[in-house]
Amino acid sequence: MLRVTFLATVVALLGGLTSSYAVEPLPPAKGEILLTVMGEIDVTNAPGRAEFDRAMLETLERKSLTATFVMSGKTHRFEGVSLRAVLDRVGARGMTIHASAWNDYKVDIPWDDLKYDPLLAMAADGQMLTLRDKGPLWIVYPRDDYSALRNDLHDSRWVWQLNRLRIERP
Amino acid sequence: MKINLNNYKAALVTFAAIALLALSLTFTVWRLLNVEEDLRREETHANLWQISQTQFEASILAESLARAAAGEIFADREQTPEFRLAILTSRMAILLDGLQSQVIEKVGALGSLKEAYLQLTYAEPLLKDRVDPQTARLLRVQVRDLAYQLREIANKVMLLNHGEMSDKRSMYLRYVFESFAFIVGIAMSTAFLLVRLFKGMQEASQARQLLRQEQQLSDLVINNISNQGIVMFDAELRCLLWNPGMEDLLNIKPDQAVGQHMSDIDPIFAQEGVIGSLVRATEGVSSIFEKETSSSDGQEQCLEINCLPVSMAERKLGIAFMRDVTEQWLARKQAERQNFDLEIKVLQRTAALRQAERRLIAAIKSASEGFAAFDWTGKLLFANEQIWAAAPVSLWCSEEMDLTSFLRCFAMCEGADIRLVNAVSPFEEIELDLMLKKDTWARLSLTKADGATIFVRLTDISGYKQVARALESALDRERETTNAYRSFVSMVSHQFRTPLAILDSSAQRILRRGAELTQDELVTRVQKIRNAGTRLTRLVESVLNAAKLDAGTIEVNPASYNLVELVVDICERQREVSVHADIRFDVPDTPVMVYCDGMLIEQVVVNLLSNAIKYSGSTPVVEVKIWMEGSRALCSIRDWGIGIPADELPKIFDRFYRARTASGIAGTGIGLNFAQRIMHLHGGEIHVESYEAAGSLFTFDLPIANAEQAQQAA
Repeated sequence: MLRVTFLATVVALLGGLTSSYAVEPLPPAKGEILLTVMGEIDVTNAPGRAEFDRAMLETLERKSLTATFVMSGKTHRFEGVSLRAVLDRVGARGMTIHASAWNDYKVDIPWDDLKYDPLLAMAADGQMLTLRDKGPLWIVYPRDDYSALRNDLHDSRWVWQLNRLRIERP
Repeated sequence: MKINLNNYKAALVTFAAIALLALSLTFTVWRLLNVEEDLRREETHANLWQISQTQFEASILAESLARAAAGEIFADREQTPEFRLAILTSRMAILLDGLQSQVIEKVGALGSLKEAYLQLTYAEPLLKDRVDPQTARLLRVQVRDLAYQLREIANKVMLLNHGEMSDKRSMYLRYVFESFAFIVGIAMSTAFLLVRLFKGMQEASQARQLLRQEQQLSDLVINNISNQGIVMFDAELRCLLWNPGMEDLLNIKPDQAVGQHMSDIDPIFAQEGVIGSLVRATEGVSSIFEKETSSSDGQEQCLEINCLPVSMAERKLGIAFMRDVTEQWLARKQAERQNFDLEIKVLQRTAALRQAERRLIAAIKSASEGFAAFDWTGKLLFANEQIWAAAPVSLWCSEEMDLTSFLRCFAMCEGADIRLVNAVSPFEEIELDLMLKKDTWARLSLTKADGATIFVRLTDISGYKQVARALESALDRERETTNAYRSFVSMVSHQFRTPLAILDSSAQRILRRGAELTQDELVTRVQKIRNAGTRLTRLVESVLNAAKLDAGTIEVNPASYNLVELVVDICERQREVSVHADIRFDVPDTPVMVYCDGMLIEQVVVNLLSNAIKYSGSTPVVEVKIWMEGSRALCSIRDWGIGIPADELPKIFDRFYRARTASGIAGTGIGLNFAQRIMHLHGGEIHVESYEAAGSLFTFDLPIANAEQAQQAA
């Protein structure tokens, strides 16, 4: 537990450091916009927000993990980009990530959760996620790797059909 | 053992308490985990939320489809039926998956919901890009129905949850009570364990105190035993304790000994046997032995060393007790020497005794008489060959005979008495003459020597017995002769005196009268003298005959005679002598030829006939009868005279014997004896039947001369 906390601190520090240098401008989205990041961010490619299409997301740090979806009880191999990488890319600095989905679901994700390095899944078991399959983006926690993640609170942060992130400070 | 059992029981109780504690704890935790698990699964509101979300999406889709059916063009992608359908589909998928589907199944709506999902899936291609208003209308109706259906499901789920909630509440209540019971168990077992712990600590402190006291006591004892040396050592034979007793024994101070190797302390411990025993003591084997040494001043000394294993604080130690036993040792050596001398003496004496015994046995074996020795219980000790060869012993006794059976096998011999049969320990002294077999006599004598050993002697006395018997028969004959002589003298004095008196008186009368004597008187007197002379002559004759018979000088000259003629002839002559006698005949007409000495038979018949007449008073009647029976001719002479008393019948054939009825009648007692002996010479016999005052019947028999006649008679 101590180790995890320490790791998280280091990660947060690194994130803070890198964000201060992430001044590289974000090119405007060309394809269908999958994700919009708003709020306390440094990098934008639209007025007050950063918009990502699939190609832009795929240039970011790719990641995959295996986790069990609590609703179905089935285990899948999820692939996508790290949530932290997306936030770093836009120089996000906040305490809360306000996530909302196409089905109007809304939940607040504390900044602290980034220590678990949640995934923005774009494919499951090799299948591209579509809107009808909880896609195109799905926040997935490494639920099977951390026992602290196996509860209702964290399960409610598995936002599927994600389309919007708003970074907030208190 | 008892303490061990108690320890065992205490351990068992403690273990049981611990087990109860663990069990109660486990159950309590398990119950709490059950509750936690249940609470974690508590997703009632989540279910309802999912259903309401899905219902909302269905309503939105229905609205979107209604707008499409009206031909409306959607500016926003999110308003299009395609988008809304995708959202609804994903919502439906959630409902049909995992735990959600279980709840749906419980309210019995899973089937219809799956069907609806399938239909939505089919509708997906229809809603791509351009939507046909007609299709949109139809779809709208279906989707609206789905919304209603979802509302229905939500109702049912809510009611179901109410029921489940009440069940769960009662279950939790039960869990609470159960947990309470387990907590009570935990409390009790904990209290018990605490009490035990407290007691255990108390006991331990007591034990420590006791141990300390014991240690002090044992130190006190060890250090104050001056006549016994005590030394303790460890497995490496390093001295741990050296008491003052050891100091006295070996003259080595404790500070010189403790810490040193045992073999370095004193040469006695360096000896192989001693060091071996010390090592064995540390290995758990005790031993005790004596060791002879010489003390510092050169005198012989003997030490008793007792090595014992000691276990102290998990260490294997040894302890040796040493004691000066020189005095006992010297005394024992002295006793051993004396014992050895005694043994030699005993051996010598035994050899001498054996030799004497062998000599005695050889003497007994070579003795002519039987000899056996028994102990006082009657057990056979020794018997020589002569005993074994004695007839009853060889027949009836075996090797294992005892005195009782030995004596009993003589009980059948002539001369035995009841003492032989009844002989049991303690045996009486016996001396008996026994006939072992024909003409073999032995004297059996049983004597006791100093009341312990019983000797039996069997002496052959056959020779002695034969001589004795010969002497006895000679004595009998002598006695008989003497008797005969006496009878003869008495008979003679009586029988001879009467005729002699007659002779004398007749002669005196003739002499006195002289010339006065008439012729008739003279004749009478002379006749009397003649009669007396005849009688004397007869007496002398019969005496002579008897003498002849005794001397065996009478010769039998047998020839064939007609018995009838012989007898009738004799009777005729007798009739002439005894005119008054009436002699009757009952004889066969045919001659009866017999084989005999006529002269001798005549004497027999004359004797019987004259007797018959003589003992028949004044008018004698005599009946003579002759007849044949088989090969023998019989002749009987009967009278009706005075008869013979029955008790005297057997004796009348004895020489000189006269029946008491015959007193007053002249007779020698020789005649019948003589007649009987003549008949014996002929192989016949005179039988007599007689009754006092009724008469007598004398019968004799003779063999018939020729066989032919015998057959005729038969």
